[in-house]
Amino acid sequence: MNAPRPAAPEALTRRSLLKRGLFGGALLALGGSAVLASRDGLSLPLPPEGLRVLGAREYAALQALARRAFPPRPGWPDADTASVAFTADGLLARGDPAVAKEVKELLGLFDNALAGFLFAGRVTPFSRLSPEAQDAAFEDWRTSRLMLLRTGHHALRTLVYSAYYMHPATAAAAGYLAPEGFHDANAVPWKGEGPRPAPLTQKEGSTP
Amino acid sequence: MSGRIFTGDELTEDRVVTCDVCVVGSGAGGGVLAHELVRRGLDVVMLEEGGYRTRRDFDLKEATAYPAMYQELANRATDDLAISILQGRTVGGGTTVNWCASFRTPPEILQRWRDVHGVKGLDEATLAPHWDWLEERLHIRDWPIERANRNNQLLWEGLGKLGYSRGTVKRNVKACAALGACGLGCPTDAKQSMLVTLIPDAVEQGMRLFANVSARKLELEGMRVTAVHADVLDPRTDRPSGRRLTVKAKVTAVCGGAINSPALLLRSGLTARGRVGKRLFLHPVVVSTGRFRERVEAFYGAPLTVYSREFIDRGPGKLGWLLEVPPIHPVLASVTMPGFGAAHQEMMEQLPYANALISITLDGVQPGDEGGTVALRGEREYSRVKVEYPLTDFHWEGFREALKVSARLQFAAGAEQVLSPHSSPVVMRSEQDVGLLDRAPYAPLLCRVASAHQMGGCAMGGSAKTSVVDSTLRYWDADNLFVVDGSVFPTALGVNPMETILGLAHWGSQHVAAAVGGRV
Repeated sequence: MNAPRPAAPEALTRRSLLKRGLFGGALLALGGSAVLASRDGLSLPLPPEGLRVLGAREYAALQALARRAFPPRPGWPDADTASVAFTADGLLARGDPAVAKEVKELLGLFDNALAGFLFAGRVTPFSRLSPEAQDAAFEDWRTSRLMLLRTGHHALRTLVYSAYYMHPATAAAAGYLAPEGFHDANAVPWKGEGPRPAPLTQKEGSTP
Repeated sequence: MSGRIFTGDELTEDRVVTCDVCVVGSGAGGGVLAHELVRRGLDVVMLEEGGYRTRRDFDLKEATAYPAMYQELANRATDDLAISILQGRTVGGGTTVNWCASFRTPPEILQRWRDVHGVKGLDEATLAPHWDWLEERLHIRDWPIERANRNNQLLWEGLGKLGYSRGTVKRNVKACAALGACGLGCPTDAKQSMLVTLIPDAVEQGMRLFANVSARKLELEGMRVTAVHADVLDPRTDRPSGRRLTVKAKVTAVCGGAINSPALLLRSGLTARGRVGKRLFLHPVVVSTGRFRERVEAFYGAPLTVYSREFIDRGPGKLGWLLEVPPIHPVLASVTMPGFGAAHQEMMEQLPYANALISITLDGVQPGDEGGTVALRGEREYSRVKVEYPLTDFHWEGFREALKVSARLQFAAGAEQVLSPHSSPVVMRSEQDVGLLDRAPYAPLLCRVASAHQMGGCAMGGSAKTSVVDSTLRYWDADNLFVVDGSVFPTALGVNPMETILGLAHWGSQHVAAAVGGRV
């Protein structure tokens, strides 16, 4: 019988990931690697609306990743047009602040040259790599034997895809047009005062 | 007497309210329970941490729905992110945003609860009249195959060609326009969710519902809960407004679902000798994506209307599964589909031609399969929920075999290509390629796993040593505390859980009513 077994010890958690990030910071302080760890990442103009969660470097690192996820394609908005990192910033602001903090730390680790050196032997921040090298670096995280890097890959990938496909033009490009004529933005929500509105009646259909 | 629905923006000062029963959570469990208690003449207060979203908010857009009506903006996941968890967080809970599939509990599951877990008095015959009533009130009806969308028809055809058992799914809808947007909130109120049925009924009869109110802690004196302490949330930001709501009730029923209910008990120091949060079951799901020459448009039409339980029982020690198809809207598809960059874009461009086949595995019924756990990060009132679910060789074997069956079904239905859910997908172009799945990597995050059904965490059973609540849904160590939701399941079900939760709550309401002295 193939009975369930306990989780493998390598199954590190998000918190472990952060600890590893902090560990990287400690290495920086102790090991004299300040030059490497502090190498500047990409600098991008900040959105005029401002950022609510991400810092400038985190914003640029995420947008650099989004540019690789959504290269120019006819009929589709590119990463800059869809303002992926800005939308992601808004999503993070709506969620649990502790999660936002973890994502910020993850982005810090992702774009950290020292971490890049420790994990992959490269000495350039992700956001400063060539496009091909960025693809390879992100792919390294996906296939890493370290669960913590795979977790980081998944978290960042989910964030950029969620943000991009929330743009109205992307849903349409993917073929989904919200059926029209059914949503009533002026419907008054009943809260118990006065008579309850009668149920809507309409003809049943198999497709819109 | 008419009750009232209050939202967070109306709660501008600290309040203390008294009542007979405080129901924490407004989903399938809380909605039915509250209705039944009010019907018995009891004074009920319901708390819901999500917002009061109605059809005016349901604009058929994912960008609106996921952040507003799902736990953690639809990004809830296990701690290692290996299993994503879709779970509702709005008035009506999961019933407001689920895909309407309605199944009575499989008899063998109820028998297992009795024989293995010591649950008493909960069998098919006992539950039948409760289900009968619910099916009538919630208009749970068969959705015939003639009305299935192409996505479901493909599953039906594949099952037929391979000679597997197949059936159509009952749905809780009335005058359904089959928009396909069940997961985004129904803009026509066709879905007979708690939001538009039993909760308004209960409010009409006097229930007070407080939305945007997050229960943080139960206060106990000896063996009795004396108060529920809750934060009022600002509906615009979902952050605590600084106002507190305190509910002093004769009886408290926790109905927050399989993750939030154990979390509330743990925050309150209630562990049931370490059993609270254990035996969490997620019906772990793997998705096989088929591409067809024809347009499938799986985002339109009634989303989930065909099923097969052909593989639910694979014998001792093997993980079985239920087959269904989900709707495929772009945001959900984008995070689920494998690949990155241009390759992923090409897949998304082909979305109208995609059919997704989900294998919903039945966890918790094999020896040694204890499922996952819900815990807290730290022990404080504001600690976050930590969900862990170890995936082992037992699961991966089941996922691999399920993906092979799915691919064969999709090819039988005419797919020109099938992709596995691996982060680097196995690309199959004919049935002959299915064997490639044997050589793919099966490990967390290398093969994507999801959950839309959460069960367990406050298991019901015959002994205080092995369970959290007794066979009347009463917490073993507190006289006036009940748990009424999917968290009390001792195992998963192997079918979509909504109707089991509805039936359990309808049946269990007699016990809650008795505890407060109401009519049984």
